Amino acid sequence: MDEDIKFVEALKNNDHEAFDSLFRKYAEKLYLFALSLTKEKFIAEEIVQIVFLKIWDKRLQISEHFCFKSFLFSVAYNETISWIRKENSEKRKIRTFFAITDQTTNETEIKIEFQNLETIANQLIESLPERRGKIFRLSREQGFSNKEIAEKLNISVKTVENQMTSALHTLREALEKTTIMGSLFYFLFFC
Amino acid sequence: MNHQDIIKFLEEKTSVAETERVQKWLKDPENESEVRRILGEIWMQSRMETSGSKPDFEGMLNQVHHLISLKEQSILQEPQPILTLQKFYHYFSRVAAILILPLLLFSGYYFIKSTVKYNADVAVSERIITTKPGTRTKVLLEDGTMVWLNDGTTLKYPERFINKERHVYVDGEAYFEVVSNPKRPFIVENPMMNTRVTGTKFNLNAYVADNYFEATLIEGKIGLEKDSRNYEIEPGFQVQYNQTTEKIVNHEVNASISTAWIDGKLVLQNEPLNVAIKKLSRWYNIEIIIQSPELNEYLLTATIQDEKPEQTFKLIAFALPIKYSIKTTRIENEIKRTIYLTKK
Repeated sequence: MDEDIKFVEALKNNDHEAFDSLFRKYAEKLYLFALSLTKEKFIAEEIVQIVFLKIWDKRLQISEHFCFKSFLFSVAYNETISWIRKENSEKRKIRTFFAITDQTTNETEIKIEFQNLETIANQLIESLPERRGKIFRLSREQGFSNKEIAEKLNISVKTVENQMTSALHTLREALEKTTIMGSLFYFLFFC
Repeated sequence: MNHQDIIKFLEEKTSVAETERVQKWLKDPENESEVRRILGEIWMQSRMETSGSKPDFEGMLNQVHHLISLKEQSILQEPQPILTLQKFYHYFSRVAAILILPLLLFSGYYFIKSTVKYNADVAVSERIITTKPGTRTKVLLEDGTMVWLNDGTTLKYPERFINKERHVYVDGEAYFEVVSNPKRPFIVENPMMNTRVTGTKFNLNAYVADNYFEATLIEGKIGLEKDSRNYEIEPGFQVQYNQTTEKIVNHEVNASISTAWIDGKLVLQNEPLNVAIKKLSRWYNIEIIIQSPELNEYLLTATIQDEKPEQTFKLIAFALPIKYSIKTTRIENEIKRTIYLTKK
């Protein structure tokens, strides 16, 4: 989330580039989230646009200390839930009818899979060689400094540093292959 | 309702009955905090993968930029709830149909304001705004600074402030509320004198044609620059500079008077038309005659701010069954205009 803090700071200075960066980072996640709730592609697209328009409007009210990802959720949640509540019950009846008779009203099928990041992260860390995984956990989960880890495990600081670099490299590669949005480290998933 | 149920619903893996159950749960305002909590957790803790075709995100980003600039432009045209009757909104929303189409469901809030275009002669290319005689407008600059422009005023400003200093140009009268940024001084250029501020509320009256420059400071701090000379003003003080005599005066004033033009409003509330006409007549300095006596009792609710007489009457004719006509007569080189109102 270091990256987001820099973006938000710049955004508050009316930096359009920062705004664009945040959009490119989060638009797809937002789209999929809205789509899975509303089941309407057109609406999901509109929600993405409205939410980011609101983010721009409210840019001065965002605190860099907030987690941007959760701020984004608040705006997105309000927008999506109001649409859902206003949705015409007629449409739902039609959709239900067609679902029963085995036809879909959507042009193409939505297929979204939700994967728990914590689970994925744990699996990835588990897959690291034992000592590397241990060092990684001590650093990121328990917050020890490289020096403290070196003392704890009776190895050199340089070794700790190398192991960390390796671990990060492995994780980044693994995540880049499977994540839509590129490199997101698990410790960056949470705010 | 738990995480798993919701995720199944989101992944389209629920039966018809389960889907309906979840949708009902989502819709119910009583479940608000639970819904928010669970969806929030799913948002923060999940990665979403899709095998479907993806929409054009760059296209969406462009659209957002477009909406942002439309919204900023709508600040130029004062949102005018001039007439409170339904017809007014209906007329203007029809005019704005082209803009509304891409955002069918969310359009109301964003576009009603941007359709009232007649107040100022806005030449937005190269960001130059010139208000026509008799009209006022308001501009929001990229840094959040607000500028109110009186009539016959030109403001030149960049779409974005990229340099360290924020520069704009004014010829006319303008009231500024400058967003404070000590690291980025805000400079108002004018052929007679330049004004330098960091975060301030001040009024500038500097019509080049008048050869007269006047700056009144309401709040904050400003420095005036002429050639290589600098003058600093304190809040509540006003500097007057006469270009012809080259005299400079700095004196204390009641600062709020210098900005009274900003709030110039005429408010009518359920006013019988014959009374409303008297007020409008004084406001526009124009004679207004009601020719059909039935019209006298019609009630008018309106707030007139920057509208010219023709525009105001056009709207009145929309709201009430009235026809209006403007007759111009020449009396000894003076042009006199009279407005006649008849029943439709």
